[in-house]
Amino acid sequence: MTADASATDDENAALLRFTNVQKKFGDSFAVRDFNLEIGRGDFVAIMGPSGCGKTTTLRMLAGLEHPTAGEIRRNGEMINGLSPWLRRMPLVWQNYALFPFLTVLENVEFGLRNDKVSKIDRRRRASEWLDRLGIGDLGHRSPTTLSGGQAQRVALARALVLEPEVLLLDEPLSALDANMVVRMQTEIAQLQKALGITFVYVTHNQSEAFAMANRVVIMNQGKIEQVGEPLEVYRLPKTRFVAEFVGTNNIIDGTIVSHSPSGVVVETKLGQFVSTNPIDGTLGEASRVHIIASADLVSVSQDRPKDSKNVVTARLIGESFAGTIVILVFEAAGGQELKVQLQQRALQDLSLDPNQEFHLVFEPMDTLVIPSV
Amino acid sequence: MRFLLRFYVAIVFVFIFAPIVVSFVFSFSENRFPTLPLTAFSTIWYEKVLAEPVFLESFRRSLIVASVTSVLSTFIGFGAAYMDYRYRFFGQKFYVAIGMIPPMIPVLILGVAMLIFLSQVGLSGGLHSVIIAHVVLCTPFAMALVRLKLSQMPDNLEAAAWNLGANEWRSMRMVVVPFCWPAILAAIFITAAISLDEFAIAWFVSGLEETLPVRVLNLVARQSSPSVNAIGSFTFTLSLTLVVLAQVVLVANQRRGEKKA
Ligand SMILES: Nc1ncnc2c1ncn2[C@@H]1O[C@H](COP(=O)(O)OP(=O)(O)O)[C@@H](O)[C@H]1O
Ligand SMILES: [Mg+2]
Repeated sequence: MTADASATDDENAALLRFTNVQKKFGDSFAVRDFNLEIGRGDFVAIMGPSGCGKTTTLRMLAGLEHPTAGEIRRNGEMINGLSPWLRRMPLVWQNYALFPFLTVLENVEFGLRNDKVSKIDRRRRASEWLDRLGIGDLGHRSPTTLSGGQAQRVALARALVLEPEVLLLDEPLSALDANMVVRMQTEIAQLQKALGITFVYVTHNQSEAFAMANRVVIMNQGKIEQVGEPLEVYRLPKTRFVAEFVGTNNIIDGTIVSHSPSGVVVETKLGQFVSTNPIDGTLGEASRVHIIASADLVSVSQDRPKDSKNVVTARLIGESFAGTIVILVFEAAGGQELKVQLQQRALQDLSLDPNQEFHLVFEPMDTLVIPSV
Repeated sequence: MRFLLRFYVAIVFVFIFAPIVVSFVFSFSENRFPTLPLTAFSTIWYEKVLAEPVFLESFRRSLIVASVTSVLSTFIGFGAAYMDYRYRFFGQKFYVAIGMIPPMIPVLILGVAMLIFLSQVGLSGGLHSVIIAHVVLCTPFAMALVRLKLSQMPDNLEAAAWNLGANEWRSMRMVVVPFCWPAILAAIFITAAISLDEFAIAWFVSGLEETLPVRVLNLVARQSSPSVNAIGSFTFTLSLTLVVLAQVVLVANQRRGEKKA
């Protein structure tokens, strides 16, 4: 009977599940209160600033670190103390970690040798992967002679040749130049789709995460701040940290005044704001909150709009260009800085003089209210 | 400063290489006594040495001691260096320091100490005693060479092997040893050279089983024979070859490393 129960458990179990996982080094926490489910075929990006515990999380999955508390389960089975060589969760390392004394082909064969695959078979399978990743002609080379992009492909081939259920990647593109990053990003995303295996991808770069993943996990100081689909995390950040970390958000501190039919009314030093988009509808009056508005959803005009709700008057203090995108920086009452992101062509309708006053309009729908902690 | 350096190099040449060259030259001289000008070229002294069973026997012993010592001390030195690299334990620095001490002890003292210790435990007076004593002397050199190499091993290399399904022993065999191989080879050559030349400790502990250096000294103590020049030239060439081989494997490997960086 118990066997039956556990069998059904296993069927419903997520591929990987962290339950209250914690990892301490000495007295400091690298990871804590970590709860996460990863499903079959997911492309999960774990994102956060340097030192927030991303690599430690990945190393715990690979069995290179063991949690100091909590459980990690795979298909329902606890794997906390399982040795790394029994896990078959290959890792693509930040520094590639290719074996310098082996050729490229021998590097790719390494895992198959541990599987006792016959020499002919592993040669063939390794070569196939090298071909598939477009480096079939590098097989005889020493890894020490490769460029970053080539080394990264070898590292991918070396891991994927094992046909794993889960592939772990630790900032695999961080050492490549910008053009290469975009190319590899596309390739990795396509590869994951084609193979249908689970990727757990660690990065501190949000454009990488948002371009490839179907779920993103934002970490801060060892804890998960938010989990969700990329667009959801981007548009509906749940905490101030996430709002600051993803995208370009304006953050204004305030206090809830009332819940009116037209939305939540928040009093700030820049005037009253109405939001129809509170993250947490249970926030009572007088709660301290942040107003979050993405810079690309704020509009700018030179004439004062008729309705004065959600309008802030501010002085232009700077602008920066990134390709065809312009970010205008304004200063409003009390030194509050506000950013507006526009397409370059939209600028032509505005005449921009430094120190000129503009009116920034925040749509109630695009104005989030999140609790302040 | 440059002058001082040149002066030092000159001194080194005069006092170290000149005697060697002289002994080399006289080893091919027919004359019984080392006199100038040289008389006829001859290999008579080499032939004499080869005809003397005592010399051949002591040379054979030296070769046995050197080969066993080099393999054993490199093996132990590698193990010690790896323990130090891989694990963190209480008193680690202390252990490493202790392990490094033997070459710093004057060989006479080490020789007497080894003699007393080995006879206490009933292991004195044979080739095995020389081997034990030489392993103690040589292991720190092997350990130092391997330690240096391990410190250059990329952080995740061993973990990458585990991650690809190799257990600890397999990773050791397939990743750590191949990575350290140049240092291991160098350690084998260097320790063999040290053991081949070592006289003092061997003199104390060898008993009747004289190694070549001991034989040579006993010979010189009684009489001066050009045979000594011949033996000296030969062993010098052998040791030098070993040391040069060690340098070659180390430098060749370093070159490759630099190209990568
Ligand atoms: N082996 C270790 N010993 C001690 N502290 C560690 C160790 N590994 C990581 N840490 C600490 O744990 C925290 C998280 O590190 P890490 O997971 O590497 O962060 P990230 O990959 O997000 O940059 C950091 O503060 C780091 O200093
Ligand atoms: Mg990291």
